[in-house]
Amino acid sequence: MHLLPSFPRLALLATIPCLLASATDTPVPWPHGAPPSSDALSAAVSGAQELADRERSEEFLEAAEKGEDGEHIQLFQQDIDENNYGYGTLDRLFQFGDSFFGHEFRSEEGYGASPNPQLQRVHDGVYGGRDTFSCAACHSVGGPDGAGSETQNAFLFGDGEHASSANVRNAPAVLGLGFVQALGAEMTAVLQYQRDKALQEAAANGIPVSILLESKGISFGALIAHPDGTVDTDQVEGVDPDLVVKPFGWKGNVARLRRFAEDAARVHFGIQSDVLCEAYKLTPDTEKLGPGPEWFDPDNDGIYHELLEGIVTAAAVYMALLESPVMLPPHDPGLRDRWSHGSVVFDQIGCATCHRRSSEVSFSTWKELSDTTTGLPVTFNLVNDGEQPRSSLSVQLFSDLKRHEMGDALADAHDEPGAIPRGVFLTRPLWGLSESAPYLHAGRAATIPAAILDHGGEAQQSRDAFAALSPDDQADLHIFLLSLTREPKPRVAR
Amino acid sequence: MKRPSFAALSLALAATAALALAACDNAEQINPIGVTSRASPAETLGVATTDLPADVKEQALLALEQDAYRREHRFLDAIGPGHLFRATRVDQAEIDQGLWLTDQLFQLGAQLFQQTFTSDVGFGGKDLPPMARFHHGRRGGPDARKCTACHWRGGPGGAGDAADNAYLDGDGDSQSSALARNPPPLHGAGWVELLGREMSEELWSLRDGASSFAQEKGYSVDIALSTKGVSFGTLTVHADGSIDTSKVVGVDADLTIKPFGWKGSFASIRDAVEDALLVHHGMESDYLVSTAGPERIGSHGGLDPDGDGVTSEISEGQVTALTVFLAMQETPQEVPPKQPDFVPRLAEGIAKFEAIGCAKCHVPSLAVRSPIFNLAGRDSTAVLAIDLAAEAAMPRLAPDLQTGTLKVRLFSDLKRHDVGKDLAEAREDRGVAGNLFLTRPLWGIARSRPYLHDAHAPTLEDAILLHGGEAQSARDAYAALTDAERGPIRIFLTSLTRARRMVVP
Repeated sequence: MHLLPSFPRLALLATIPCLLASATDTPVPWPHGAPPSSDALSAAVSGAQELADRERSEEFLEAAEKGEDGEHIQLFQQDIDENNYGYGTLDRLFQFGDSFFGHEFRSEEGYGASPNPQLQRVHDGVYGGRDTFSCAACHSVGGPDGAGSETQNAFLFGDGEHASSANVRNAPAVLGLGFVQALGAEMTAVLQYQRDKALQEAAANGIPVSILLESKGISFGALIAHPDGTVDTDQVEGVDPDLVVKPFGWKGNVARLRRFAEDAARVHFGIQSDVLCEAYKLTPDTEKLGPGPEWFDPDNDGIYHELLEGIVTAAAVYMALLESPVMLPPHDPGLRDRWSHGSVVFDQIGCATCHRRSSEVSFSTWKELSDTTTGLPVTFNLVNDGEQPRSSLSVQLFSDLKRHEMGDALADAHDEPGAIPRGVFLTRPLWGLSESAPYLHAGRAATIPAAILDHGGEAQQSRDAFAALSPDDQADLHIFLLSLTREPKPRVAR
Repeated sequence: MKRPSFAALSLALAATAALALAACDNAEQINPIGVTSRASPAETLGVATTDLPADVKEQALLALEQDAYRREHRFLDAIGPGHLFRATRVDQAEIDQGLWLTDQLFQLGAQLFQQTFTSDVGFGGKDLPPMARFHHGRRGGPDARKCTACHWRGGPGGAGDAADNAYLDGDGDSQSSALARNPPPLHGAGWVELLGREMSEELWSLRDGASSFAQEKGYSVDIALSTKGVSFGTLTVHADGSIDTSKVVGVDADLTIKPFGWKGSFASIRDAVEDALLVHHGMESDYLVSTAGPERIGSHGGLDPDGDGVTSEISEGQVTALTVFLAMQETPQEVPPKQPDFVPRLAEGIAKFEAIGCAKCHVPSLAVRSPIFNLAGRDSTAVLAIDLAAEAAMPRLAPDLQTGTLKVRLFSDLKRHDVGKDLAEAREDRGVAGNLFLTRPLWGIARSRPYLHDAHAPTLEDAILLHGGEAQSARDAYAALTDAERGPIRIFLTSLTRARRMVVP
């Protein structure tokens, strides 16, 4: 064997004299400038230890008595409504949601549709597949509740067998989603109010009314309201004709966290919620849920109540209360200067047009309504309740929550159910970016510059502007984007 | 721990200058033979350590510190693309000269384990799709850009989830064409290789002894093959020196124990690492480039057989660093439940585990003669000797206080067995029949869910009940127990875990 040549310049470099004293004394580049205080560290450690102790103890309980684990994901909506056993409190709901997120579903709980099913990584149409056993399994990058690696990609709407038949989706992190949900809901309310007002006006005056749709400073095109109550939505942009801003899913398909959690359990584990079964009772969607024949067991695996509504609520509350991503510039002053310049470049080349830096949430209170009961909603304050760190009402999301055409190169291989064209995606929020590699909907970009260069369509101009930048300017922008991250938190490995 | 210099890099220098400084930085380190010149760009970045402070707060601080370095170096990689990868480019010649301490090699290996491979450094190949979830033959995917994409569960060097399964040797597109393999945890890998080496050597020596004997005496002899109390069938040696291996069981005809891979495909970490870099990332090592055939490395020939324009994608030194990192992985621990009433049930579980026959294959412990992990590059004349009992990552295996023996509590016999039709695959994998799998080591098993080679058992109990073949009677014995009787066995298995560790992120 011959040794292959590598780095021929090294001989030269090694002759450059060392300018520095021994590195052993250099300070740690703490992202916050200094190490955490002893108190902060104690608090973080004891919290992490407590969680690990509880999980370890539950592990043994489950070992001692099979099925013990399943009790942590048994929660009736009625018990939330009536706050029985304190189950309506935010702390308990967060715990239930956390248990759900980490729970590994098994056959006896309704996983799949047969005992000990093999995994099925390519989904079978809208019915889904069997990707793995838990939510946490595909949200492992960057910490708990994080993003998915490329290996954890989901293969949606396929033939159940061939990767090439499916649309590929990389799991995004589930952080800060309470704010995202609220932004979407508020934008929806404004757009629908504009529409309804136009309809009233059209009816009152007997002539069509044309309006520009706009919410939180973002334009969603125009619509025409007719006196007969119909609406012409041909000119509506970036949102469905129903004007519901749907901030979840790469293409922006889901508006509410509870629906997102419920659908994920269905398509990834074959776990069917009671709420879905209730809907099936009225209109059996056999393609999505299975042949029945019993409405309460659409996948016909003999397991009923695979996912109680209370857990759907808990999952929604949990995700809304998880930490928010943060911005942490480099430690080093020289790098920090470049970071500041990168931030300017971000605006200059037009990234911020769609990756809008921040949006204001108007109402800090969120009310999580149940689907099937009449109890009072679970109410919490987005800023004050939940895990630290939390966003302020000025949410540094780096997205307009609007759909855009991204060009042919990024387009999906296949059409999807629904009317969203292959090349159209929701502006991906960039907060938390550096801990969520790989990038883009299919995880095809290993690095941030690669992801930028893959942009096309409406982003073509910005992409080209990036490509035309000097390497230094590109690097500065890269530094800036790498500062969109998560708070470093010690936790017990699990 | 060595701390890299940020003051230097703060000047936001061109990448080349930064490189020069990094090289100088390393040159100042002490090394065993007092030589102070290193030419390679390799640099320890402070992102990994073999330490595990007993104090949890200290552990957390250390983890935060490593995370701070990780973040800052990521910024540096943005201004000097390739900074992180270059920092792993250690030359085998420097290792051979003793210019790198074992602990530093561990750190370089850890950096490589976390490294994102991009096309700039050789990820993928011209003859490969950008990504392939299901592999195409032995050429592989690529299916991942870094080792940690699939080795994360349970902590550093951990296992992969079911979603992370690799799909080997398929047609490149369909799941059912490929062999599903769940990424196993890598803890204690050095001890596993040492056991395998010692067992192989013993089997070879039995064979060679019998061969001399048969030739000397002029008649055929049958010899029982057994090492460390594990039987591998019998070998017939004829007077003419020819060997009949038809009654050898659980190991290949070459009598080499191959403890890595679900079916026992690799004898050494080095072999396993090179194959993983190749099939998962399209990162071709110098050694494979010079020795492997086109079906594995591509057909473009020369120094760049995958035709992607990058040569020497993985140097011999890098393979060594990664091997050192894996060989020095921590040893799993047996941690009893805190619930006092469970403790007697744990003892009961251990007894039952043996009584119903699990321990026949999942042999609780194998003794290793020497903790010295000798490692040489393919062309090296020097051998790096790592004392795993003294240098491996914490917690590490220590000799028994009374007897001085090193007992590896592996729960495996490192032998292949028929595990029955429920687990069997329709075809062979690298010459190993579809129904044969290596006894999976159970140490650390509580941290490596889900279970079995294709991860289709979410719980230990599901995994037990899917056993068949040689394990049929043990499986049936378990199935015949009531849930209350099974509990202690499950408690025992749950006690097989890893040391608690604070990590960031």
